[in-house]
Amino acid sequence: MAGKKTGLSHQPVFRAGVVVVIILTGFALLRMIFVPPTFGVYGYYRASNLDYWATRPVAYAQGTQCDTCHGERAGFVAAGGHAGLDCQSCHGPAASHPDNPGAWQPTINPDREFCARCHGQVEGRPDTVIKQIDLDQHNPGVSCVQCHDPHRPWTMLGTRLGGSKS
Amino acid sequence: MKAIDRRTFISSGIKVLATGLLSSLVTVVLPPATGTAGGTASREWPKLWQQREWGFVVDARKCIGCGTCVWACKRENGVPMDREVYRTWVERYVIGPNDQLYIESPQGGASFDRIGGSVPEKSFFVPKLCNQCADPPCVQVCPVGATYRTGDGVVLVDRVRCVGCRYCIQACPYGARFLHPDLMVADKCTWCYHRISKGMLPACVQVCPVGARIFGNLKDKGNPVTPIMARNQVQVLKPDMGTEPRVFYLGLDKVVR
Repeated sequence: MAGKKTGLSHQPVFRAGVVVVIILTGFALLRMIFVPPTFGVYGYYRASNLDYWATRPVAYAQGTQCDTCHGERAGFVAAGGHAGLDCQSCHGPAASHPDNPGAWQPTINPDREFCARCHGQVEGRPDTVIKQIDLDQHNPGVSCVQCHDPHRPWTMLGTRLGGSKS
Repeated sequence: MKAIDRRTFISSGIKVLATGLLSSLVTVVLPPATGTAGGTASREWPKLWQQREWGFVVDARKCIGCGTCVWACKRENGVPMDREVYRTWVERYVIGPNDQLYIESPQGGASFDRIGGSVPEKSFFVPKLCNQCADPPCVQVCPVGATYRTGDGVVLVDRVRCVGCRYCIQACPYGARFLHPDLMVADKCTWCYHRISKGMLPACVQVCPVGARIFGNLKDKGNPVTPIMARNQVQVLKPDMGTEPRVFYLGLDKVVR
């Protein structure tokens, strides 16, 4: 007992406290280094990633945007069998078209196979939903757009072939 | 030059270390530990989420298997066109005369062809996409916190955090996830989060020629989803998995899985 030291730094509680402080500090430092910014703000993920997804570039323009310049064509479509279709369903993504109409134009595909993606007879395709043709029977080898105006499928049929379907 | 003795070196070294430790402690303590939006997310997301809850209905009776949604999704979201990976795809179920069941999805359903030989008893198309489950197993298994469900009900992947370990791909009972071939991170349908956050429709919904996909904000009066949910019998895929899918189907056959 003769050599016992009585200063604060020799109290066991103080020494244990120092150890605890060192551990907590180390944890805080490691956490600062390894946990990325904004992690845990809203949940167990980086909140800034929400902005990444919300600001991705758009390829397909808003459906009504085409009408701004092509209102006449849109009205023509709206009165026929293809009413309600989005222009970009057939013409492809066109978000970059309005900003610079000359530089990039939407695609126009006159192939028989392209129309057949919806109108070809295929097992599983409900005929209550869409009109279909047998590609082998219905004017094989002829492009659909020679008789059918794709914007209003029955109009040209009347004028060119003398039929009376309307 | 005066040589430093051991005692001076150690004591001054300790001083330098202590100063560094203290100053770093200050930087740890000063910013609030809760991490409120200080230079983080640019929007007040919780406020937006209070007004939004997205709902998705697929009318399987209307799908004609044209694949327009499959192409549109790939183009909209930068999914490689020539690789066998899809955020949304269309399956064709063919039931033969003796109840044989064939399920196919050539090119993700972007080009269905005629079936040669005998006429099937029954056949139909089923569009598939991420179900944005309310209890998503993919989120639970992620070891790095790279995937999460937003407050308005969309499961997203953090491409910076993702290490490409593929646990989530294994965990999804619907096969809705894949490894992005170029980025080597998990990728999945986001319901076009960039579009719906701007008030647009998901690309697949917008281009569907027969209206087989219906999308809307359930908290928005006049949205097209609520009346359908109210007046029809809706089903989800694999309800027994307990994932609480948030894509609701109309006219689903009992063989669909």
